[in-house]
Amino acid sequence: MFSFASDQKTEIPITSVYQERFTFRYGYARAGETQQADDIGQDYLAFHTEEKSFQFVLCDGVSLSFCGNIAAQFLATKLLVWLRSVSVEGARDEHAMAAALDAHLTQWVDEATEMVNAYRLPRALSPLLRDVLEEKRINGSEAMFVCGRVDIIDDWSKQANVFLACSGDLRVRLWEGTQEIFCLSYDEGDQYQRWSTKKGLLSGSIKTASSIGMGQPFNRMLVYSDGFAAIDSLRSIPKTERLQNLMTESFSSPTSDDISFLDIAW
Amino acid sequence: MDYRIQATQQTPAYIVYLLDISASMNQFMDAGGEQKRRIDVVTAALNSAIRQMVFRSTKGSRLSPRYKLSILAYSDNVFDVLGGIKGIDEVARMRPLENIQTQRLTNTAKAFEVAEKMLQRERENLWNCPAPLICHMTDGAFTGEDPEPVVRRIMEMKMPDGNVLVENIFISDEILKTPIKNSRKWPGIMPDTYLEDEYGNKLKKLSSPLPESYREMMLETGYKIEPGALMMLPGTNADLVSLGFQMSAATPVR
Repeated sequence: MFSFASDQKTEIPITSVYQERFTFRYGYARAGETQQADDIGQDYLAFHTEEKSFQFVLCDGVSLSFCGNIAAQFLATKLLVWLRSVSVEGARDEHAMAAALDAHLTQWVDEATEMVNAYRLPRALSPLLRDVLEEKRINGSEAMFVCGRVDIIDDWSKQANVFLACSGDLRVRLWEGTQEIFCLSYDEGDQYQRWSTKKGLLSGSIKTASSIGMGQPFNRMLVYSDGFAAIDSLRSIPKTERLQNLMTESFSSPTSDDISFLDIAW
Repeated sequence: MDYRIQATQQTPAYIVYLLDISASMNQFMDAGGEQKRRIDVVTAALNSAIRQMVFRSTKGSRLSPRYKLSILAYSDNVFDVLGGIKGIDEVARMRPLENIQTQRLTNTAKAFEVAEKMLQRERENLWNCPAPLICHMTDGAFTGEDPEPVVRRIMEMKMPDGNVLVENIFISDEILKTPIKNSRKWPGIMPDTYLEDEYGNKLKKLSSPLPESYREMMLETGYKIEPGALMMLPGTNADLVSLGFQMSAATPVR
């Protein structure tokens, strides 16, 4: 068993873990300017693996909303609990999973709104900044997300059932061996898709995918936030050292953003 | 050269506001059904634009300085309201527009010359940033020298992101043939739009085309400015003055 949940104030270098059925790498870093200010990151990465199952969630808080880190942490925590509660059989039915998730995303709004309303802003804010943040609070905190679950159904062939759900422009890429077979496509409109603590899903419905629906085998999955867009164009999966270098290089870029990265192989 | 560089903490957008504070700015204008002094409409609109910049610069509860501002108020002389170039985080802690007093004349050329010098001094620091923008607000013809040569020089200043932008907000009772009923549906002033004011036509020629990246940001906030529009606003009412200042802050941000 292995669990991870990002502390939004601590960088985690690309770390490799080898378990019996899953091999995985993960990393977390705040944007360069956020590290300099020692502020809270807006991404949240969490996952859990036990025996033949791996559940994960990555949320990217929307920085223009009210403290996007709140929505990211809240939603990630809820999604992971939900994914862990689903049975192996239940996770095979993509449509039922999508419907259940859709319902949860609406149900969680009240609790999330309460949390946002109770959130205390730091004292030392200028009146104008405080006023703007209070205006944002009315519209809630927002996050994009991708979550999923992998269940090994045959130890010998390593055949797995996979369920994925996504809202926003987070990256999901699937491989069979060294061949990339699928990239959860995102277009310009996806940057407006997100979950709001005030309104639930915004700008369209969630995208889902499953191994059964795709009808194509794969045994590796990369999930990362748009802060790691530097690896979008890479056609093969980089080694850990290269990933770490790219992560570190990104901190000095003016457009540096939070990075969450997860690479799962089975 | 397409005005796509995003405003970030490391590459902030630099905006210079040139505000005409001549005596005529004491005249009254329509402000949502009531009459207000032009200068009060302008300061309210600029305060609103500053608020918009703060809105676009928050990250968590922190204010990331994605904008740098200068505010020059001009009449016979030019006054540096902020006392130098200030980040939006600093401006948010000030009340810079509280004590602006109107003066006498409208020495527009002098104001642009000061802005030109500031740009020249800052140019190196701004090299990797969004192209700087000068947002000029006036309510009448200039006194003193013709500002056209200096404005042309500024508009020809090249930066990697594109030439320096010049926007004009021209406060006037009548400037367009047909009054604008709804600023949210207004397509903007095009190069061939006829203006019923000689100075208005001059300012039109001294206004940059609105970059597509700015237009996209304005569409997102509910305006319907069309491609090809110029960075010029007929300030016939408070709504349009406000639109003009919102336009100045429509730099793409991270």
